[in-house]
Amino acid sequence: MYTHATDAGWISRTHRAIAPFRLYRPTTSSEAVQVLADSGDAKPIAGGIDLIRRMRSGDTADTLIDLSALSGLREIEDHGDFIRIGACATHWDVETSGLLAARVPAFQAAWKTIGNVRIRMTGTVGGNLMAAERAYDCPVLAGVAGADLVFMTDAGEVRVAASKGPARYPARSLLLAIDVPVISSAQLAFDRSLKPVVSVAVGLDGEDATVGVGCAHASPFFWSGDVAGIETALATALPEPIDNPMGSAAYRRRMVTVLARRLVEQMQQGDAS
Amino acid sequence: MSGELAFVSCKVNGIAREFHVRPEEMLIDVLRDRLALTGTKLSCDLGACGACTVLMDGKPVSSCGTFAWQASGADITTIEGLAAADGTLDPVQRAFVENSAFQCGYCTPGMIMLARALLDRNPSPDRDEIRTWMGANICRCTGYGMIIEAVENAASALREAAE
Repeated sequence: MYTHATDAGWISRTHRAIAPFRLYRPTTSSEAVQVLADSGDAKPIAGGIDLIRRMRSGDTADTLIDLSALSGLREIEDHGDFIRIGACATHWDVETSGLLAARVPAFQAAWKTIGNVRIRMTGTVGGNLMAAERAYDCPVLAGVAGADLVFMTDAGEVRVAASKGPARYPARSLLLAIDVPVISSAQLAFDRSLKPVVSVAVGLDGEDATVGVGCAHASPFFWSGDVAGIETALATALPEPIDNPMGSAAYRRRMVTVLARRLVEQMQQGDAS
Repeated sequence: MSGELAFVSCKVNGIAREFHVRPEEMLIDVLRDRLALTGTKLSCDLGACGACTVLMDGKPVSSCGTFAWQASGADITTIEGLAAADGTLDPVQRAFVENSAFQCGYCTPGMIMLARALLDRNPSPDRDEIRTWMGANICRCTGYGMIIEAVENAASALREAAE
């Protein structure tokens, strides 16, 4: 039933019903991890941008674990050779962080392009990463930046390089933070203008290039090598992209190499943004 | 496991409110259904279009993509909360009227709330900032030109009022 009568008249109600679930509100990360370990189908929720959309499209969970009361998960801290971004930091927190502007400005500049302002103010870094959607930007950027993801499991903390992809995330774990290395000589640039067909991020440190490709495969693809001849080497290494009416495999393959080359040229000319 | 109600205590348009909600109940349904604040519009129901935008602690959020319990402790402002008690329109509302920045009007409450959030943060946004910020919400009939001009005029009015 999409409408019903109230004192205000007939009211249109949300028509994508979400299946009932239990709400659990832990006060410590350990409690949250215990519920994840014990429950067959519990899911953490922070901003909820992705999770709520999925649940409105039919996904279910027996328990949602509200992370909003957990302390420290939204902090952005300087650890010397890396910056730790709490998993519950919003994209807006990243965008407006003075620490990130000073220490990893290219990473921050790329992050500013994610979503729109409503999404950036509510959606979290951890939510975007854990959604494991092929068209999402955070996994590509985190991988190219050389970031590590820090998880808490019931057996202790586990670190996973972001470039390893979601298949390597530990099961029933809670993402605590993303550690972004501070490399003063490194540059990073991102082009998401062809989403959802393809997105490309390039990291450049002298002659060493790292390329991250989003949208084109089931999970992000990463390539590292010498920046000279990047188009040919990348084309050779790139697995067969998705081929569907949104974009053919040949088109995606071509655009990956074109965008990567353009981003390299921008950075070499000092024009990355 | 399910069926346990969540307690929500929040402010809506400056008035303290308390509810018991089902965990799966959305903020937009509480606003429209329980409080009869039907100025907040339901459209895409996926958090994409922004017609349901309200301010939660000053942040623009999609109320159709927010569980009601996520508003616990928050200060919510809906379109009904912008005008003064005597009916004097908020400068953003007035600018939308004066610029004819609506046609069917369905997206207008969300647009106005989004614009209000921008001007609360930056009273002097340039046109590019306005375009980028307002790009979060979708209008399918007015065209965006008049909306952007309305936000520019609202910003001018707010600056003049502050001087």
